[in-house]
Amino acid sequence: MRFTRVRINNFRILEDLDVDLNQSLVFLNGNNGHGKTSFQSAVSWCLYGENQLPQLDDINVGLVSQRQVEENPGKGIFPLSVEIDIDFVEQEQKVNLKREVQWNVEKERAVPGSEKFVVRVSSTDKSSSTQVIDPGDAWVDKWLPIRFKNFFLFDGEQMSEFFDSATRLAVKDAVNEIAQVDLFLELKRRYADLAAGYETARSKLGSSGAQNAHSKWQSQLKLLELVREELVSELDAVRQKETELNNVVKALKNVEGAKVIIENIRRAEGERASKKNEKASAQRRYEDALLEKAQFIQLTQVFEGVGKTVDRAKAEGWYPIPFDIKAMEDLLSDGKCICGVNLQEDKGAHNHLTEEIKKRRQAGDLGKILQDIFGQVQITTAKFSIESEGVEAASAALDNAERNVDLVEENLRGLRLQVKELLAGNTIEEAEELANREEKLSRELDTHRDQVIHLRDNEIPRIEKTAEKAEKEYNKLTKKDVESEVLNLKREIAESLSKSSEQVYEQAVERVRKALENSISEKFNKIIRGDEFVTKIDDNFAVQTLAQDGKTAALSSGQNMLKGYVLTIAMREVVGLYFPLLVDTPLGRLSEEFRDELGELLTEFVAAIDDSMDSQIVFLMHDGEYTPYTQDRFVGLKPKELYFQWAVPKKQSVVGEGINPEWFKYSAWKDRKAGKI
Amino acid sequence: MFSREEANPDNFIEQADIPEWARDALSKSIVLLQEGKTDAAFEKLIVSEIESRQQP
Repeated sequence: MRFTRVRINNFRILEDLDVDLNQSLVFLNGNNGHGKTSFQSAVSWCLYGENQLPQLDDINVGLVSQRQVEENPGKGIFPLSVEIDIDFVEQEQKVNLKREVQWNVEKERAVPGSEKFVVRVSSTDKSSSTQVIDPGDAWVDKWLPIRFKNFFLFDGEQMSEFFDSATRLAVKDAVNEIAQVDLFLELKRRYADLAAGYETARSKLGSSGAQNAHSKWQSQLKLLELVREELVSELDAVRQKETELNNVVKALKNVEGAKVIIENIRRAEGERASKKNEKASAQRRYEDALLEKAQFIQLTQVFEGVGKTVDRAKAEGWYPIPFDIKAMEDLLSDGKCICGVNLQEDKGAHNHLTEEIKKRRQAGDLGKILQDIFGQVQITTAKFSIESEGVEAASAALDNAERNVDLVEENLRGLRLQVKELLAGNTIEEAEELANREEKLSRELDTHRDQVIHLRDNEIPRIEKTAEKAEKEYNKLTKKDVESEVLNLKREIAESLSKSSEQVYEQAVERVRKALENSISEKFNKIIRGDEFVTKIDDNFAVQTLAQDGKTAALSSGQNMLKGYVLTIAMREVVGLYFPLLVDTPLGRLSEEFRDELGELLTEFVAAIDDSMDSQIVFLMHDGEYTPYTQDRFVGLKPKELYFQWAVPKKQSVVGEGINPEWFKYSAWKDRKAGKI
Repeated sequence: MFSREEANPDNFIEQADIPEWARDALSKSIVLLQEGKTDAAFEKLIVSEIESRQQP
């Protein structure tokens, strides 16, 4: 960037100035009071306005031309303006800056009206039109920000104070700007705000307690499982008790039946005993009958002998065995036989009986004995007949009795089987005991049934509801946790990006700072011969010069001035400031030695100016600075030489080209003119 | 020398010792910032980063 032309109207003593500066190195020389400082102030006012010119207030000088005010009291309006043409090579732009203000001159007093500052920008490529920026402060803030003013608009005589806090801040600003700190700070803040927002949102979600909710849910599920197991167990118990009770009830019913049957068994057993007795009796009778029959059979043999005897007796006529003679005689006397015959009337019978009595008397005892035996045989035979029948009867009775016994036995077996079936293998006592348990079982069954109902209808639904609620709560909290987790992740990423933004600009600042340090060290050591210094820019952006031992180097005022120049140039190179260097009294306090060194520095700087980094040096030098020796130091750079001259008739300063003719009265310029220098 | 062109945000991001994912995210963020995007655009970028992390 270079200032190609400056036009000034009514700015202090510069009432009508049009200066062509279109060259890399311009020397605008002049004696003190001829307009150098006013020129620099005019440029400064054009760029930043009156408020940025405190030095003017210090010397109590107004902006408007005092001569105009004094010579034209009450004459109305005087326009004040400064216009700068800029060739902004780096941006391929031509720029025109114009600040103006109307002063109302009332008597000997001037009152400024409102300022107007317009920037017109046109691209150097042929197609573009001019863009008007009104007010133009934005353009200036972007390309010539006032915070860097000290690096291009300064007074050389003030350079001993160059490295003050303002410079440190300017270095800091410049480094930060080139390191894009604002951009990354904005990113850092943006992401930090986002992170804070996520954290706030997350904190609003609160502590989820999902783990507790999960525990509650799981414990409810466990409880539900246990209660369901209990229900199953109770149902089993109910079934078991029901079965038991059924058995008992059944047993109870069977017991009654069994009791009847058992009674029948008892009866049957009694009957069986009776039948057995009968059988035994029949047996005995039968056996007796058999014995008697056997005896009869034995007697029969006797009876056969008796029979034979009887037959013989009959044949012999002494048989039948006489009856009881006396009885027969009583019968004869009584006349009546038991057989119905009347012996009194039946003579034959009477005679027969009498004959019989006679025979019997004659037969004597033998007949009687035979008669007795025969009588016995007859009785026995009769008895045999009876006994034979008795044996048969007894046998039949025995058979009957045996059948009866068998029947009773069979009946008993049947009854016992029935009882066994009825009592399911239990004894009647056991069955009765079971029956006695009915009430207890009923109570137990009722208890189990009640428990089943309680578990099924109350407890399980209640626990299910609680578990469901716990699950919902857990899911809700889990969802909240997921949300929280996402927010946390977002926060972490936002924080990381915020942190990374910070790291980027910190590292960028460090690189720029290091580059600046290296540039300053290199340039400074190049022009300060003999010593080797190390430049450090500390955390406060103070530019420190250290000796080889690492301690702060004690620089002379001249060295400090050179250090200032080195910094301004290094800033242009490293930080990319495009400003022209517009310095008032640039060599004022430098010794010839340091002027040589500065010359060397600036020569190198100007020589390095090319199309990509166009720049410019405008030195405003008084007669003590710009000497033939100074001229020689820069002659190779072909500087543009201009001078301020006081135009006495108009009481204003004007600019001429070349060396101020008045200076040729000085011996050095005389010598130069004479070719001696 | 750092010219203004060289001292662009992407260069500093590229040279910074930061995680690779953050490098990409910051480059995109710079664009969002320069385009004057709202927080929603930055959040979208964060969500995109989360999604990329969740890729198998």
